[in-house]
Amino acid sequence: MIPSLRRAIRDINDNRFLNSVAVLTVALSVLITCAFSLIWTNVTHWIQTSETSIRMLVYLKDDASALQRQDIQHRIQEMEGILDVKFIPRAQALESLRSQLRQQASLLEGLEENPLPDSLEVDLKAGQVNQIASIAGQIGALTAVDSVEYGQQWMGRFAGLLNLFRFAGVILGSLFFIASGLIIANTARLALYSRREEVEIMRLIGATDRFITAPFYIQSLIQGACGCGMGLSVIYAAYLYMSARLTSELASGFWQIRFISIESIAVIIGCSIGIGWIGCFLSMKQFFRN
Amino acid sequence: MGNSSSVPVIRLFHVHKAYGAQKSLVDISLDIYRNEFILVTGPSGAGKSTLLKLLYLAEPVSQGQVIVDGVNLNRISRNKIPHLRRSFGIIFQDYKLIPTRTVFDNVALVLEAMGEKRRQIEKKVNSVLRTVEMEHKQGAFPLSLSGGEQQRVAVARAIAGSPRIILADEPTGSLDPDAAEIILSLLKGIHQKGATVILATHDRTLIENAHGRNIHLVQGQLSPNNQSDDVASHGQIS
Repeated sequence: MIPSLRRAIRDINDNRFLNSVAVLTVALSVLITCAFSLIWTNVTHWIQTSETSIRMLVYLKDDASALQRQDIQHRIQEMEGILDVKFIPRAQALESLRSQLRQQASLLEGLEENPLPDSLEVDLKAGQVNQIASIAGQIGALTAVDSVEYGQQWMGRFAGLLNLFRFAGVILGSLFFIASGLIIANTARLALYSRREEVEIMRLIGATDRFITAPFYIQSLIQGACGCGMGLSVIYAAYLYMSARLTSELASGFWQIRFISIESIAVIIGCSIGIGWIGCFLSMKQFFRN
Repeated sequence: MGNSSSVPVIRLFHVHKAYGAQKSLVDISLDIYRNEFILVTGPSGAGKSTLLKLLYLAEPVSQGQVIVDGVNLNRISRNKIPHLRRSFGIIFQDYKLIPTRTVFDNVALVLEAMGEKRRQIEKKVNSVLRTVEMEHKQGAFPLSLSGGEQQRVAVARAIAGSPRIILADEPTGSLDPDAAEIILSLLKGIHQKGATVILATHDRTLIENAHGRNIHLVQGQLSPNNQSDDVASHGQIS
């Protein structure tokens, strides 16, 4: 192991340019993946912490009796993910609308009767953003419920945008990781071809394929690890900078930037090192097949 | 040099080697015994180098069988080939030293490939470099050495792993007479320590001074002069 490590370090030193390109590509891949992951982590965290303000309005049918209304209110309260249910009588709703309209309140004076229905204000617990459509469906199926509103379009668009963002992150990250793998594979292949004679001599004197290839594998693992370390260091420095700026600007500190989870970092490190190993493996396989 | 031992370390049975339509070796059968000094002679193109290449599996046989230390090379698995090659010390006409490595590292490579410990490697490399009188040049790179010096390093590399068989393919082909004499005396020294030496050469002076059993090849065939002495038993190998 130690002679192989020594040979790997010497090879890196001999081919500094090629190795630097490989390390930089891995670093770039890590940087892009981490940047997407960082934004994703913070946006989802922001959604989860601000979800308490997500509210549904349940409009009751005109002919709903007080008993039915109480029954509906009780059933909704019993549902999973519900924080609070409040009854808004139609008269209170009209009064509230009037106060919201202020100067335009005179528009309502011509009404012969209150056009607004009785309704229920339903507040959801935090973390229910994905369940909102299902909860609304359950409520809408209850007798005496006319309709349910919760800003479906807005929520749909936002969820779609988030999914698109996540998809773009995964695709871009994957592409860059594949590119890194190919560059590492090419680095190994070029190194092997430039040492074709040396490899041939080694084989003639009885060196096993494992002995010959070990330094190349170590080299690719070093490239992966260095690239990963570099990418993570840059993203962490950017995180510290942004975090310090936002904290001082927002002053209240009610919302702090979060760094990528340990699990995500472990996956990124695994991918960086794994991609180096796979790239090298493919080159070695091809070279020794020839 | 007669048969020093009744156990043949190398046996060839009706070996043929062809490169396409070009026949390089034709029906070669011979036994080589432990601690023999063999001279494989013949003019250029007679098949001397090919014969040696078949032994360390740089080339496969086209027909026939080669047995080394009881191992039939036709049936050897790919992962056993490095082990087979380690049982030989091979010396090439063009030295085959790695130009980017020092003399010490070139010799150490064999021992590293064998998995020897660093301390042991240092000890053995120093010892073999002392044997070939190249200890003082251990930090030098091959291209800074003369041809004779490079071949002495190649000899040191060949004997570093203490192989029982030395294969030398035209080791003096590129050397002046003085350097050739040094290489020959080194090979004789190795032989005296118990190794089997197989030396392919067409150098007349070397052949006269070597005093070994002569296997003479002409156009890929054993010369009738030495065939009667050297032909192995022609029985079937299982």
